[in-house]
Amino acid sequence: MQSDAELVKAVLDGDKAAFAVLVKRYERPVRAAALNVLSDYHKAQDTAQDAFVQAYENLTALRKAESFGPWLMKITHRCALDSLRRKPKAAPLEKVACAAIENPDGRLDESKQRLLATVMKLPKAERQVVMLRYFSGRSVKEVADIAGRSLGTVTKQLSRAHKRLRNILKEAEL
Amino acid sequence: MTAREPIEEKLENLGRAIGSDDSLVENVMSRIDTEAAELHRIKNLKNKLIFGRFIMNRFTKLTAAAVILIAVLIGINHFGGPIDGASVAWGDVVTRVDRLDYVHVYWLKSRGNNFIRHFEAWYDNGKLVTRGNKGDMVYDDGQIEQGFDEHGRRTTKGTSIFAKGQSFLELISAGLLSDENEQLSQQIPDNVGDDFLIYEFGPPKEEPHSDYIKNISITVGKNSLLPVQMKIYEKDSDDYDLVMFDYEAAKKPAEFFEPPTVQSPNGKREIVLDGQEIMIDIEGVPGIKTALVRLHDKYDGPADQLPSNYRRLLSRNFRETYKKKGGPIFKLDVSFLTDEGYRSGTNDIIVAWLNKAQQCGVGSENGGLDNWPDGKYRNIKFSPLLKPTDKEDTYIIEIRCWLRPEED
Repeated sequence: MQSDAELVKAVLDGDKAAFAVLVKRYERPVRAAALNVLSDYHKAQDTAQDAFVQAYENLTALRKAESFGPWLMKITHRCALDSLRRKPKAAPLEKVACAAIENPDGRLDESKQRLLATVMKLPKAERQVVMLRYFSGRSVKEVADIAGRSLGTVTKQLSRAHKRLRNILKEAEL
Repeated sequence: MTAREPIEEKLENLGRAIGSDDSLVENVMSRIDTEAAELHRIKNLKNKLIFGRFIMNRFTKLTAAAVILIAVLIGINHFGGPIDGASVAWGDVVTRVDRLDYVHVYWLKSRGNNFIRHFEAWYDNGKLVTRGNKGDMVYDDGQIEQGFDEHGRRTTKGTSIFAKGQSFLELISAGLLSDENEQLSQQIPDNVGDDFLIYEFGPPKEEPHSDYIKNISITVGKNSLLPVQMKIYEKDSDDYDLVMFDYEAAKKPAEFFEPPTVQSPNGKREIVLDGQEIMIDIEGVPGIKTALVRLHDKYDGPADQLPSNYRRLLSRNFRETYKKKGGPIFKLDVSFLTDEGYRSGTNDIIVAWLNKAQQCGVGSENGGLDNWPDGKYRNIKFSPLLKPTDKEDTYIIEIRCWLRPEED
């Protein structure tokens, strides 16, 4: 599996298909990040698209190719905030494909929204591995390959993230 | 779900709830395709280097290209006497370069021990032709720049890259080969060889070059004072761009700089700015029967007040482009009917300027290029061109299109 850094380099070398791999890889994390700000599937979907296009347009500005994931999350966050400020979309939303949406009202239930907000507060390295592991459904080995980190590092980061999330959620319940 | 549930399971459930959007990849790539021409231009502006447009091209390994040029070491002594290379100021090189009216360059990228991606460019008295690896060509006559794909179909049309008065050599050298660069004109070579002088330049002072260029090294023939090669090192990388100047190949004839005849539109029709969809019969394109076009929204105001209800207009790059080009701009929605009667998706992110062509694409109505009712792959590429008429809010829309029946 190619790491993010390898894919970014390939894109900069003109291989547009490599960007499609990055889009597929980060589709769910990006949607999750957008959803966290917007609390609306449809808007999150649009924002995800905007974020990827912006990332592509500005890829040459990415100093460290291995930081693509966290960098993309920053772009997504900015796009989501922009979307909040934006007027409602003029085009009808019915055509927007959203095959796997769980709730017909386009929103996460409260507990999931809270968990998502908590994930988004994790340190960026931990957040990246959590999103890839659980939102994108990657194995730990795949996460390590993607992030360009060792298996041990990713395992530790996941473990720390679990602990942190458990603690935060426990505090919230108290 | 309960509070006692393992956190991993909660996260997995959350992941499932977030779901996936199968059309996202297709939509993103389609937008990138659509905006590619604009991106090229933006990158050109950003870099002030003409190679920006080739960033998007696929490339192949260039073999043995390096052989071509070193032989060029022009034997004529520019100064007519023995040269003390160590004292040749950069300004002398620039003066010499200014006299060139014909230039041929190869552009390569280093990747480890290899060189990858190349394009060639020929410049002759204000006209420029560039050829990318796939055979795509760009013709710039100093007024208009037109891009053609490998099949000779025009895909882009816009303002010349020389519109700001920069020379070809200035453009490819981030301004170093400019006679206006007085600051550098006194610089002497860092290395003096028997045949070469090598000038090393740090990062350009002005933005945006300073953002990405670490240093530039230009090797010049000691006698001719003509640049032989230029290496552009980027920040945060060991790789570099290598530009090789070819003075040996025969000059290309004048007709080489003439763009191919632009294919007649496959369909055209008057269109009114009223948001109503019109049907345009498409001729000469197997597989495509009709184009459906809707012209809506026109904007000619200041860049900082671009309407915010259209996402493409919100990108900083677009605002910058608009600022430079000005209006009016129009919003177009385009879709197609195939011979089989299948309707394509609607490309609803087109922003058009008058008399400016751009390459766009669209797949099936259900998203994806192979998600048509019969399961076949169809990638519809098209280039809309909006022309003014003497009637208010009435235009001519020309559609050039083609169908790619299988993946490249």
